[in-house]
Amino acid sequence: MAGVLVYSDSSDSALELVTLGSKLGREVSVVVLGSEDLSDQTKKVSVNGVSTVYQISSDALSNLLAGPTVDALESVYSRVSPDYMFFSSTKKGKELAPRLAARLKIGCITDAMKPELNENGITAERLVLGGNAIATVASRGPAVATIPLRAFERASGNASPNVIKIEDFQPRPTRTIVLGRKEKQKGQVNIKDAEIIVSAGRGFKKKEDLAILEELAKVLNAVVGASRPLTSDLGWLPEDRQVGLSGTTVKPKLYIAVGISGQIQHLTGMRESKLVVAINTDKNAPIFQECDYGIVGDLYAIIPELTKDLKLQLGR
Amino acid sequence: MTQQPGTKEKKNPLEIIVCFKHVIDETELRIDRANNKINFEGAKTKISDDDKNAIEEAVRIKEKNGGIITVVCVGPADAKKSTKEALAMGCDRARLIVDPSFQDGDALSTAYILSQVVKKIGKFDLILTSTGTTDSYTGIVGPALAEYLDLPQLTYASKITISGNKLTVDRALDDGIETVECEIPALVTVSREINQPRFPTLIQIMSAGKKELLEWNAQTLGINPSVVGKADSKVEVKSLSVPKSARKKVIFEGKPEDAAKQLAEALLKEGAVK
Ligand SMILES: Cc1cc2nc3c(=O)[nH]c(=O)nc-3n(C[C@H](O)[C@H](O)[C@H](O)COP(=O)(O)OP(=O)(O)OC[C@H]3O[C@@H](n4cnc5c(N)ncnc54)[C@H](O)[C@@H]3O)c2cc1C
Ligand SMILES: Nc1ncnc2c1ncn2[C@@H]1O[C@H](COP(=O)(O)O)[C@@H](O)[C@H]1O
Repeated sequence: MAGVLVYSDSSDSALELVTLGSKLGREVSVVVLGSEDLSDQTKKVSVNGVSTVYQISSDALSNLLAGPTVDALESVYSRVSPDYMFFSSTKKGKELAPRLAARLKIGCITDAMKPELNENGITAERLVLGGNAIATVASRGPAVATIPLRAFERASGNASPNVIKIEDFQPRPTRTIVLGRKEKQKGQVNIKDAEIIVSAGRGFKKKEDLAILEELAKVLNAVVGASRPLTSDLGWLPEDRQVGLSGTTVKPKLYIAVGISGQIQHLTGMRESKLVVAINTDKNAPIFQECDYGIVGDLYAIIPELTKDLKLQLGR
Repeated sequence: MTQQPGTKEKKNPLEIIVCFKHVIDETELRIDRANNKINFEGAKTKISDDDKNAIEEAVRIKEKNGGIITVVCVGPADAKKSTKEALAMGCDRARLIVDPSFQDGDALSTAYILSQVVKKIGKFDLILTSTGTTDSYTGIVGPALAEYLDLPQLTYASKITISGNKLTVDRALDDGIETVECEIPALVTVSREINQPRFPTLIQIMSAGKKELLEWNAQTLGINPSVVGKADSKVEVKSLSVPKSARKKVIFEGKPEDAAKQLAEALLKEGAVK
């Protein structure tokens, strides 16, 4: 079968990869892995566009460590012989794809934006040089690629794909064990899926001042994001609010950058926003080159005014 | 040759290999937006940012456990400058791999070359790379090198501890920290948060010149040029362009209350707020 095979450590992201596969006009097969009964996972990915679900359940896959996971993916790959395999650009996806590609002696493209097929491979765009440039890359022949999260809608619909259980999976001897796991402390907000984000930058002088932005956020039903100095360096907001290269990539309908200069690492994380607004005292700040609407001025004077106006207009 | 786990004599010094890439300093590039061009002329070069964290970590492990660090770079001849910097930071010896046939290869090709370098070095307990380079940020080389050498890969390390043959690593994953353990030899990719790289002192910089720096090429490594570099790359860069901004760039200046009002109206008109 000359189709595509997809795998993600989260079923939701796998559905995005299904959409991509269908969009490319290929038959899509999904791999689900784990150490227990996989019927729930299988059901989740049994959506329109999926022709086959391959299951491997094995004790070796309980923590989805790279070693046994690559072994499992290799065994599915050699059975299916797809042209292309897609992973999500999660940390797990990005450690699996290169190792599998090296084993299969095929190409590997990580963080592939706008993936397309040409006569003999995948063409995609990648951000390089710290986000300053876009490289158009192409594989010669079959390849694996990792796809940024939320680049595609999740496939949906109830379908009844073939389900094939691979029973003869033989992982190599285990060399790595998991001693423990500490879940990330989650703030109660989720910037990833937010429709409106108001983000604070170093233009705020102290933590307490963020209250004026919270006020604006409330009026807009928005969530508060931040640039890196406010999360990693100052700790004014939890790390899961950080937008950018080393934080979260967001794609809201409206992104308001307040007191953020617009360094490339920040822009990389919010470039896909539908509408961008910037408020900054420095009219030469790079963020003004990347916004739809901007105000040159002091956030301390502007934010309360803007909040007041919007409150009035929106009747809140 | 890799050692078999468990056969390492405790009294042998720890042998660490750390890999870095010599890259263009992306913060100093001149971007010509009007002509969609990036001007590389006179661009400065450096050790890729996070590779400094890998080098720093190697030095810290040595300071704690003792050992010998070999630093490896596959790059152009002028990577010698960066290689000396790595020696000044505390690495003991360097292998700079320069060969015209290695140019313009994809990341898998680089990983293959590195695997041959490691085999030539021979003995090792730990290989360190970073998670991704500042120029291409593929993140491919670490896991692919681990595959070629048949080593366990412990990725995204935010903490590394070695005790005897046991290697323990905290991995900074998307949803939390996972602590894993294996026996050396192994390959670890470090996260940027693992440490703060040091600045070498003047004395260290001067004494770096006396440390062993060997240049190897395809012939020294016994690599057939047709299986590496551009000749064998499975992924090719076709073109480079400058990200375009298609934003409206409507800027309001003037009194805060007027500007705020104009912005509020624009947002309503766009249907961006409801
Ligand atoms: C490898 C790497 C990864 C990185 N990852 C990220 C990332 O994921 N996310 C991220 O955000 N950054 C990241 N950074 C950091 C990034 O380079 C910038 O340092 C950071 O984005 C700057 O944050 P800022 O705009 O808030 O601060 P600054 O650059 O200091 O800008 C503050 C702005 O506020 C304006 N200002 C000051 N006072 C006022 C006022 N009263 N009213 C209005 N405006 C005012 C100033 O004019 C200025 O433009 C990364 C850096 C590196 C090297
Ligand atoms: N040319 C190279 N020479 C030595 N090490 C490299 C080279 N390229 C990549 N690496 C190592 O592999 C890591 C990941 O690189 P990359 O896959 O290119 O993002 C880097 O941070 C280095 O530690």
